[in-house]
Amino acid sequence: MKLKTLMAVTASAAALMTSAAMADTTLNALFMSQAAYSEDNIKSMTASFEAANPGTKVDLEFVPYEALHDKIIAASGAGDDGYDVVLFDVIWPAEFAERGFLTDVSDRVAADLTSKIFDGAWTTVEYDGKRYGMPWILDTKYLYYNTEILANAGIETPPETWDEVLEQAKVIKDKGLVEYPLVWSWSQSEAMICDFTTLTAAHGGSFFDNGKPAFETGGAKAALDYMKTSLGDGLTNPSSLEYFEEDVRRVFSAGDAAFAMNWTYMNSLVNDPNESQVAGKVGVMSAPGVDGVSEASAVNGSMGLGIPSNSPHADQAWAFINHLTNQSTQEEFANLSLPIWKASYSQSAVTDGQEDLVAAADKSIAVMYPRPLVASYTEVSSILQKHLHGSLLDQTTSEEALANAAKRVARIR
Amino acid sequence: MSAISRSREKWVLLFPAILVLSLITVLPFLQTVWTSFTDAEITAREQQVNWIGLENYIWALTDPDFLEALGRTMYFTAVSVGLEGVLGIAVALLLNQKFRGRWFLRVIIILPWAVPTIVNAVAWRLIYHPDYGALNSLLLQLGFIDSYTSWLGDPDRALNMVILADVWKNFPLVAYIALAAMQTIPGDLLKAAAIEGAGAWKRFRSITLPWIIGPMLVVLILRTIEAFRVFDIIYVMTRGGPSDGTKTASFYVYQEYFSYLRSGSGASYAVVVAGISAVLILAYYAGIRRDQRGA
Amino acid sequence: MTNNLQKKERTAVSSNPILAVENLSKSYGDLRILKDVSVAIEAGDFLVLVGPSGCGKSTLLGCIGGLTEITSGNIQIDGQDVTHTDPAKRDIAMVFQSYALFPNMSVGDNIGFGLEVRKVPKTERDEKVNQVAELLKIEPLLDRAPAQLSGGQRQRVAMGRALVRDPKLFLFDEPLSNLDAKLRVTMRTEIKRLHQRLNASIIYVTHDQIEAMTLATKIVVMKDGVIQQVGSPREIYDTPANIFVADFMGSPAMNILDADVTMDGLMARVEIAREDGQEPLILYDTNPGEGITSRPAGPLKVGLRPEALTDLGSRSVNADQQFDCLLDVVEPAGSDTFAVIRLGGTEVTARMHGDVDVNSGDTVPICFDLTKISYFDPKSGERL
Repeated sequence: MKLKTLMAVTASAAALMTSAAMADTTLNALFMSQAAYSEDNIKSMTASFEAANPGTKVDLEFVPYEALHDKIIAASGAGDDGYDVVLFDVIWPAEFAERGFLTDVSDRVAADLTSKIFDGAWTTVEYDGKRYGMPWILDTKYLYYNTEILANAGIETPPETWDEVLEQAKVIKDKGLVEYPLVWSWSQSEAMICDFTTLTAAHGGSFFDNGKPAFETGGAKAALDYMKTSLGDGLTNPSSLEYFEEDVRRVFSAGDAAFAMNWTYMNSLVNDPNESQVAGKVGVMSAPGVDGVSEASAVNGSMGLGIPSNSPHADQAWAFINHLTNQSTQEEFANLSLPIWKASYSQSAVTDGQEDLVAAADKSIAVMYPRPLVASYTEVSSILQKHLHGSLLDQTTSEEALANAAKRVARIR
Repeated sequence: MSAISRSREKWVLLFPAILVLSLITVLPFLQTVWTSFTDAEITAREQQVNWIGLENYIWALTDPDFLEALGRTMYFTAVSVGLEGVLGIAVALLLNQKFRGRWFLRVIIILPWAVPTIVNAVAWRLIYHPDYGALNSLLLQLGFIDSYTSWLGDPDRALNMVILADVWKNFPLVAYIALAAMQTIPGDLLKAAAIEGAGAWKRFRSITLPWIIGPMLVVLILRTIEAFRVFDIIYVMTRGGPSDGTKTASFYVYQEYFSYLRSGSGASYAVVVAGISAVLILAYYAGIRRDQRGA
Repeated sequence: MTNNLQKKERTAVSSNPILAVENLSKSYGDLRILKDVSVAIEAGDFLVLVGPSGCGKSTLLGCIGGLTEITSGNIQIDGQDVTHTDPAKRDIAMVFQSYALFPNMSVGDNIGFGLEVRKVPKTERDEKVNQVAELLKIEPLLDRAPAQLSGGQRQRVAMGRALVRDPKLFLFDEPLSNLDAKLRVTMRTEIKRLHQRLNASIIYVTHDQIEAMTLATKIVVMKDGVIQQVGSPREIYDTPANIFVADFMGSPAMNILDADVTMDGLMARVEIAREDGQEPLILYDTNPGEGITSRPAGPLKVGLRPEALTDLGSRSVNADQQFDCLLDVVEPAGSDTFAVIRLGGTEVTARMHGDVDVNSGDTVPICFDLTKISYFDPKSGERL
């Protein structure tokens, strides 16, 4: 008698579990720790998704930017146990598409979405005519400036060209207001390439021309010279060569810099009295251009959400992505990352309190310049990082550095 | 039991261990060597893997950047192991003296080694921070520097600072082994030397050092092999920068695999690094054998 | 160049003893190892420190050598106060129980180590090493490593190392304890021969009282950090200062019995009780010392060496008192036969000639010789 009851109980438990298992899907999602939105923001977005989709759970994982690329690669070999949704940087679709790490979702995207979302945003997820995800974080670097320091220096309007940035910095330095008015994220990392790209775009340069390196001369060289000059003249904080974006924010928030280039996320944080000592004294504008060459400059630093090719839950993953990227979610968190939807920019919920940023975004997003869209970009970037960094450390002239980099890039297998 | 069946029994008993060892080490190693002769890449798509012979190796060994990295790795290994040896023996000598609270020192000295490499690396990176690092603060207060310096910002200096962090973590192992060896020295030996007029340095040179050289060589080999393959501390502290100043040979393996997704090429770099490690091991081994035979 | 190993003319350059230890005390915290020890020797003396384990003899040697710091007192070597001097500067050499040969050097380098440290030029150093090696008959071993030598050979090398520097004082710390019995006897003779040949001043520590008796010119018996007696071997043997010395030195040990001693005219009447209702043994000492004559009558402890109780056939002229005794146990030992007799409440050993034909349980006449009898206070154990 006892044995029969035991078997009955076991059988029904098994039945319950399997049916529960079939109904419940758990998605593994990989995000970045300081990407525009905070971890809490993403958790609340996820919670609302789970509430709207009972039976689907999402396990969130946050990693620093530097680890994101490697984790996606490593997980691609994990079969069913890999990720279902991943956040990827604008520089990776070429590489990931070539190697089939991401699912082609061109067919999943509704036809009318194309016109509703910025073109610049779409380039984030496109390669070779196909789409590999949904753009999620539309981001570029803006020029932030400390209004109080500028006022004390007698500067009435913020700079309109990059040369003016240097001039104004010199004035501020000579007046003894700040020892190093400019601070950048120039550690040997992708962060430095972002700044280099912005300056290259401003000076009208390019990376490749018909597949051959074109950065030894022209705008790219001018960009490197600009960076070196700002260091040589004592206008750029020499510690910038070790800094990442968080360091830039820290220095700027402490009032130890007059100008700083950084992503959208910094805007709300430097105006938060709990995080910053310069709250309320911050101006934000699109990065300036170069006289006769450009009006403004910006680097495309956006990120998208994609589905790894080895995910067994593509449908639920796509549903999750849609939830995160839909207009209402984007508008809800608009103060951390500007929406990809054109319509959002007329909503007061989006523009309120950050008119400057929106105006800057308007200008910058239109001129977002991509980094080379090649499958071997990681290697190109790595080579450029090494040689640029060496030149900034004054080990080589800009000619030498770029020539060496070009030579090395030509040798990429 | 006859000699033959005893020998066979030995192999039967060893077989499970040999099997496991082969599966974990030999097979993956052979697979890596195989891959190093191909143009395999990391991709989710179907790929045709071609045999390309020594092409990967020629590429690696003629790459000036990699050769520089090899040189850098040799420098790192020599300096860090050397410092660990000297510091370890010095600390062991200290801990071998009688003084109050010696037991306490002996216990806490192991702490740096017990800390995980990553934690050690993060801690030292903070200490070296150009804006709020403890090292800058301390040196400034002591008057050794005029203003806060960037320790990891200059390529050469960065490598040396990483070496310091690595030595800090690893010297306790050397110290403990040296101390254990020193404690086996018969007291009479040192007393006899003292009576013969040998001062502290001479006693160390003529008696202590030769006595502990055996275990010391063993631990220094271990450290040499580990130092040659150094990766985590570099990855955490500097990511190979500045200007590739701290990129060691292992970093190239990581780069080829994870950043550039070339598994064939990565395998060849890995085999080169392993090969040089093997040469180092053999050299040490030959050195010990010669030393033992001569004794 | 004179051969410095020739016998030194010990003309008194100074009237100082070669070693003078005054009121030396050594304590480790509350534990007192040496208590107010004083001893002195002249040049050419062979002083043996002997006593049971833990008596402090090795510690004393260590203090003299400068390896152990003393708590109070002072030490002078050849008139110079060396209490706080480095061992290296006391002009002493030490031979350890474990030999303490440096394992990574050859025999030649071991011997010459002290000279090398003192920067003696190589040719001179080699010459001295060869001289010493010749003396100790270890020339063929000069290039070997210590690990390749036997115990006896290592012993010689250790001695060679001490000899080569020709120090004022040699310190030996139980050097023969690690050798087997036969080798020990051989080496003992070697050491004695060396002492005579070089007229060296030696301080020698041992727990073996036979070594002490055979080697020493002067013996210091120690117990619990206190010197029990200092004297020549004969003095220690014949006139032990207390029961401990009497019992410790000599093999087999001196017999210590209870006795009732009264004066009978000029003689001392020694009455020793016996068991089983037997009549007590009455012995007469014709020449008792001051300590007895001035003492009131009463129970004492008396000491008689086994050779003072012999059989009829081996007795000497002085063994003129004879009594029948029951032999409990008979132990033939080759040239002697020892018999155990119950006397004075204890077991007493008699030494008889090896050829005597007796068995356990026999009652035989035993001759007593009281010329060297010792009297001890029953409470303090001191000699009377």
